[in-house]
Amino acid sequence: MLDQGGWKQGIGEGLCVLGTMMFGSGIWLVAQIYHIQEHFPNGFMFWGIGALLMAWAMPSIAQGMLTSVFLTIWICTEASSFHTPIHWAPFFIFLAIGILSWRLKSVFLLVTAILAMCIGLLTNSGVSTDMIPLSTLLNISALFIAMGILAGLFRIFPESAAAWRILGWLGLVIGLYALSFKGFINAWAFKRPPDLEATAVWYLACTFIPALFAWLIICVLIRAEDPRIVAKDKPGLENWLPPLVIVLYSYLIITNFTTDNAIKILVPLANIVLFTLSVTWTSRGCRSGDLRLFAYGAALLIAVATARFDLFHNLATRGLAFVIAGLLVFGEGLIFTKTLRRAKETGKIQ
Amino acid sequence: MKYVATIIAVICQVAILAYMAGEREYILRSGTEVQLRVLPIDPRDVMRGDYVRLNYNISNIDRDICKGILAKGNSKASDLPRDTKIYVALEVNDAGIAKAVTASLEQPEDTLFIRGRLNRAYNTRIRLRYGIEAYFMEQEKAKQLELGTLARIDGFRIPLKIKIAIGHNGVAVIKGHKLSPIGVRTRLIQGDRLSAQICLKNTSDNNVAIVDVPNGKSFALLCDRQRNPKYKWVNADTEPPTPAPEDVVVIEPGREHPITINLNDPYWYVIDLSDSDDSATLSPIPLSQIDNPFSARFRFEYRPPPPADLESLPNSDIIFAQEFTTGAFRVDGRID
Repeated sequence: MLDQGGWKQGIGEGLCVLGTMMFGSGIWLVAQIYHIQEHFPNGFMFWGIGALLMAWAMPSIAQGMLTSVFLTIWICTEASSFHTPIHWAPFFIFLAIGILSWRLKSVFLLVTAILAMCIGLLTNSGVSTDMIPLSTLLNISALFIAMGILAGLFRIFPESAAAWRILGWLGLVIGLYALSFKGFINAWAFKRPPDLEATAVWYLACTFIPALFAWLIICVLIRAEDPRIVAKDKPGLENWLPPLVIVLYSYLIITNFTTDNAIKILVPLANIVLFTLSVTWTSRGCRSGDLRLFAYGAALLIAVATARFDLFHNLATRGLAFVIAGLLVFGEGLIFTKTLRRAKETGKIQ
Repeated sequence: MKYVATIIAVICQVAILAYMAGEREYILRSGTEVQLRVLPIDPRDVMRGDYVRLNYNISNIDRDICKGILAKGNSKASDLPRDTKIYVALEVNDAGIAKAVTASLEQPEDTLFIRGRLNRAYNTRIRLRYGIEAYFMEQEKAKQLELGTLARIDGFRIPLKIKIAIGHNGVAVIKGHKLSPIGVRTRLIQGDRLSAQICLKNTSDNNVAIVDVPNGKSFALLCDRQRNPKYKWVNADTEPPTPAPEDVVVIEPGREHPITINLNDPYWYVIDLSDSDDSATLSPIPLSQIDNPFSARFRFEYRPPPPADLESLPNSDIIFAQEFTTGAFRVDGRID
């Protein structure tokens, strides 16, 4: 069935997925027969390994997704329930499923692998020091954005470029949005122990260095006026924000900055970066008639404005600020519609 | 090629299941068989669906007998991650019942041991799991077991022992269970003088004999050190009195035998260890005078005579020669 293509292949793959689910239930059934109540994350580990073998043997997107889910549960339960993070495991999942997604040219499977790795890394790093997950999130987000640019330039699995970029920007915006709150930095993001543990340093290094390296490659290509860069548009200015953010944040972590000083720098910086991003995306979306980019920028502007509703104590001033923000979004909408109409008239858009 | 690879992957999945089952099956057939006493636990939390939760006599281990990081006073024990592997050396008595001798992070050599996992390290004890705390069984059997041992019909509790097999690596597998022929009911009588009544009931089909030294001296008083480590029974370190032939009591099937213990008798006094661990310098007090009757819990433990003494007693062939405990009680009269 697996070789015959069409609906028969679909049924064959469905049966194999069912088999993997039954393999998992078999693990718990054997445990019940022999009254075993052992270290339960091991059950998910074995289940994930079984699914991984099937994913590579068939090869199958569905089995790959099951693998990501089971192995992520394994990593998270080990780290959160037993405080025994398995640091290599997120990278293992990413390699095992990421390479399979490249082989199958499945962006969906790649997204699963990236998410599994992110969840695993953030959970594992959270066991070490409170502030490390946020730093990890910012670093890997910057890396993903760079990967998106590089995947497009080098034509290596170019379909994945958009997935890398979207996930990267999503992670970066979430991280920056959290950093725009004083309370968050005070309570969590900058709760720095006197000495960083070796694991924390390892996480900083393992995520920061690859991100910086990827951005250095982009810099070199631009400086050398590589034909691949010349052929495409150079990355927009806002693309340089991620490396700047991670360099600054990592500097604040490794130097002895007090929480109060970090707040003075990080809160305005996070707000400025988020505001810059929202304005850049909205205006570029308007200019190019890209509705998605325009929507991202507008949504981000609304999110930042909502978070800063207490910026003015006077209710009238606060109301006026919201009216201006609303007018801005409305005006952007008008410009976007006008640009879109003009593009249709000139035949640039059907 | 794809077909062959898929078949190999399926074989690997089956092999994982076969290994899980095979390892346990091998231990069941070739492992060392011992019995573990199951301590009576709160019946409200006992049954979940069709399995029984078991709390063994070795589930809590005094840190006095632990070694290395786990030893009493070593604060690093609380830093150990949950589910850290702990090896518990066992000593098996003539009745085949095992008790913990030492516990450490290192695997003991030349002695029987069981592998557990750390649940939590407290100041005075460590709590362990052995992976055999859930006893799955058919629903009807589970209910019978619950009714017979863990719930209270007329207040009688039938002590339960679990038979396990232990592999060379310390992995334990449940082989079955064994019910005691004697059911136990405990009552505390408040009045001019505090006394306890332990009633034994023969729940088997045959005559069973027990040794009843006057004033309940076949029993020992256990202070629940898990809840409150303050108290120690004055005779905790002394041997039980040698029984006389007239102390042997035969209980017919379905019949009961009450034993009344006068807790004001100095034999049952306890010492308060809150200020000092040196029991020689402290004065014993009766249970009725303890400071906080709500937190301190006690149990009685039946201590049969040693095998050498048994032979000289009448009906020695039917004397029940195994230890068992009553339910825990508080001095204010509450019985678990």
